[in-house]
Amino acid sequence: MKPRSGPSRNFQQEGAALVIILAFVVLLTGLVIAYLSRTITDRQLAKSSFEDTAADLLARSSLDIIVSDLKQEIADSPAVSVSNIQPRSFGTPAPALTAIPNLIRRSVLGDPTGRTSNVNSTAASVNGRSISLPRWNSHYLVPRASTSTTVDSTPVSSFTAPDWVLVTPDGPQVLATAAPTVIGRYGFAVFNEGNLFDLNVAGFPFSPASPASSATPGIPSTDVGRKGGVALADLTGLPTSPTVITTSTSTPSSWHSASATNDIVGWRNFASVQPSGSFGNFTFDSAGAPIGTGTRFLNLFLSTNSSFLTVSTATSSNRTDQALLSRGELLKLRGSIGFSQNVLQYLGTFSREINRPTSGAVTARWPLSRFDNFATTPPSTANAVAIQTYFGLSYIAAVSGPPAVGEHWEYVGTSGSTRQSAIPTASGATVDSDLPTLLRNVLPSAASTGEILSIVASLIDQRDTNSDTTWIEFGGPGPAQKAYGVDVNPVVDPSPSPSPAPRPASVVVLNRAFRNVGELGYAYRNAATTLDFLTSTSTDAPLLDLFTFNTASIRAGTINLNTGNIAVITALLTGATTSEPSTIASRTNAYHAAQNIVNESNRQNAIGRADVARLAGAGGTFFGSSDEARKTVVRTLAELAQTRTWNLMIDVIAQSGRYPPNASNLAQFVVQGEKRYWLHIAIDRFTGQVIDQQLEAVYE
Amino acid sequence: MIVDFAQMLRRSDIDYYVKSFANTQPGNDQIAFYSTVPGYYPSTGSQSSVSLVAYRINAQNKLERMSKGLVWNGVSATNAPIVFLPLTISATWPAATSTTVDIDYELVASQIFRFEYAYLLNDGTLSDTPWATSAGHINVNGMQDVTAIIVSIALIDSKSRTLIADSQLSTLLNNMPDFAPSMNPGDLVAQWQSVIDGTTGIPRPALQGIRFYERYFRLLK
Repeated sequence: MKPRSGPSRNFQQEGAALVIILAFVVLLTGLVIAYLSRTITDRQLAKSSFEDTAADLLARSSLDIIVSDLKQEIADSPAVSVSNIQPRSFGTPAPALTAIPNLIRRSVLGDPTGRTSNVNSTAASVNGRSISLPRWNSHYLVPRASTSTTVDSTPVSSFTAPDWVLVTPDGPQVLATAAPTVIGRYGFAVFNEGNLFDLNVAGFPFSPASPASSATPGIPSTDVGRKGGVALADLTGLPTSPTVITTSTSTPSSWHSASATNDIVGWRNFASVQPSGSFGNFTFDSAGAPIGTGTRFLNLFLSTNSSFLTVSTATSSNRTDQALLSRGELLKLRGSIGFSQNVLQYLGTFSREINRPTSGAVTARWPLSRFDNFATTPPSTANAVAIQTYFGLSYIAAVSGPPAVGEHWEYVGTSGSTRQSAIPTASGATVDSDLPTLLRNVLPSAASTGEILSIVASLIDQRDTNSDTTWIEFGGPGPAQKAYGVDVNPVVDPSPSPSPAPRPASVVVLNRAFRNVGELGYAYRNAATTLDFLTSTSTDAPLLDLFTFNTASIRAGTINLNTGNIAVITALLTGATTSEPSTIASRTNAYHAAQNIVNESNRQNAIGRADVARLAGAGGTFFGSSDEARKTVVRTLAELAQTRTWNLMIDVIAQSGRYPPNASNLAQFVVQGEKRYWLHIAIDRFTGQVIDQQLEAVYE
Repeated sequence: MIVDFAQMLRRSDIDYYVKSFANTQPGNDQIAFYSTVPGYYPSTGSQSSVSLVAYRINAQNKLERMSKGLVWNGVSATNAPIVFLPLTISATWPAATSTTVDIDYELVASQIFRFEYAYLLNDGTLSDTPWATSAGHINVNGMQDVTAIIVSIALIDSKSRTLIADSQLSTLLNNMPDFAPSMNPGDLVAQWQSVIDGTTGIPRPALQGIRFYERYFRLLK
């Protein structure tokens, strides 16, 4: 009898079943683990996305609050004065500490916003998150503490990190203790980007660029000297050491190099200027080269109607010019070119200006190019029409005689044909009003018709290309009265009435187009004295605000006249013409004059370009003691600086999160999301209008 | 995609290759623009902070993304930097606006076979043109009128994909309508669903593997 095989078969079957069950258990376990893993990952991703969005919304909301504060500040003080022409400052270093010229304000306990709590952003949160000082200065707008070349944005010790503004569902609240209602926090600092050179516009090339002692502008020094635009600022006037420049700092020891400037200009204006070489090693033609890089550079930047808000449409070898799109790009470009980090505190990427006077009802500035209608005489038919429209003058040809009578002009008004005896009152004057009417509007009411027309005649003498003294006849219907200008040759008039006053011993006559509004200062208000652009009480100074070389209604590049950056003023003044045609300002003299100018603007802010006269007077005699030399500051700053538009960069860091129930102080916040923005914004101080803005997300 | 759009450069003096009434892009859409995101850079170094980003559905009906890292201006004669108008993206990088093969394209979603986008304008209207004609605007002008880009995609899971021939999928996606300005939010994917529901000749299990998604990508202002 064979033994039963049943138990053995059952054992095998049970074993197989066990294996199958175990396999299923393993499979099921794997599925559960995979499910849980996927769920947890998805949940984490969703939470991370949620917190990112929450932080982003918080950052944007905080920017809205900060901008609203600025606009409210303007609305609260519609009457512009020296005390409110600049944004209100708070959270800046105490007077005894190192000043930070670009810093306007930061969130700090007790600030005027009334929203900031007593917790600093450098304090670590519960989960170890803090904003270090180098991070707060990652834009390099605060002077660095170190002058070493090691990449390090640690700011000077006088910079204190912003305090946090705690945000609840009801908005920002000042809290003394941690509260569960807090949903996030933000800190901010506001910088005056108008204090800086907009690198999309500033700077010209050099040839040769090295060695530093031989660096020479790659454009004629006369063009540099006439400063028709911020492009003609000499960036080698920016110190690289020391990092902190004050009104008592002795002449810096090192400066931004010409070769680095060439690398910037070559990259920026690659197509329109067409340098030789390649990125990092651009070279330019020497100043004397005919139709070379210098000529192309001047053609681009001396255009009288370019706003420089967009890149030139020039192309070359399938390349175009470039623009710095953000401050982040500027920082990266610096790294690629390799110039000093210390210069970054003087460089920006965003600037706007409403090109409009700061006083009076005129809504635009009168173009200096209108004087070009006098370039040749007799004027063409078209020029004659323009001259009557914009000057109210009619041309009278010379008579060979006897008696010989020189060519001259009659004041007939904009629509008349006979001599006028008086200049109309300026009611309703616009940018298209004729010059005598505008002058009547700006100059003291005591100024006579003859005095105003003498200024007009002298301005014509500066612009026309002959050397004969211009006169303008007015009055009638009886014998004409005559208003004389000042030119190289004396008046050719057999019957002067009144007789011209004795001429100055020597006169400076440009006999060319005006390149900047300050050059009006070469004109005489009578036969003995030029227009007064050098005293704080000058009644001629408002003319500086009324005329312009560049006529773009909104433009980029102009510098805040109240900039506290001595280096920026130095770079503007370096190379400026101190005596026509070719004597120019040295960098050292420019630096010392800039110290005096900043000292004066710190004492009393400038409200408009008219204040340039006061600043020029304070600038001293570093460029010489002559009237012409002392007006060097006027010819530079009145064209290249402005006061009416605030150009700001708002640096905000927002963190979403909460306070845990056991939080015992305000630092014990749990950070769940973070977002940082740099908002570049231009606001017209006089109207509160936001002219333009650029939001730059910061990724660190 | 959210990062690409969030960091899109917005300037009036740069080119965008985007859908508009002058470039209607029937069927799958294509888009190319500059963005400050990292890309694949040439070996020459001197990397700028700008990349050229493009999206397209390739010949295999799969979504590709180009991220061409650009160098600084003047670095080389062969590797182009960002160019400003009048130079265009299509003239400088033809592959970004065509079906041409380019090494900087990579497959980002093999399951996506239909890619359509539209614009949410500042006034709240949806449009197939990135500027407000009602305001008299006539060009893209730095996307000044666009608040968000609305992206609609159709995807098919990989298992279902094996059940559908290439030609069938091409026919299917061609039957899925383009965005029209008359549509309201959600209308486009609803119409796509109707097309799927009415499709015959393709196994239902395969059609059941098709999903639609629509998302708004806000542009940084």
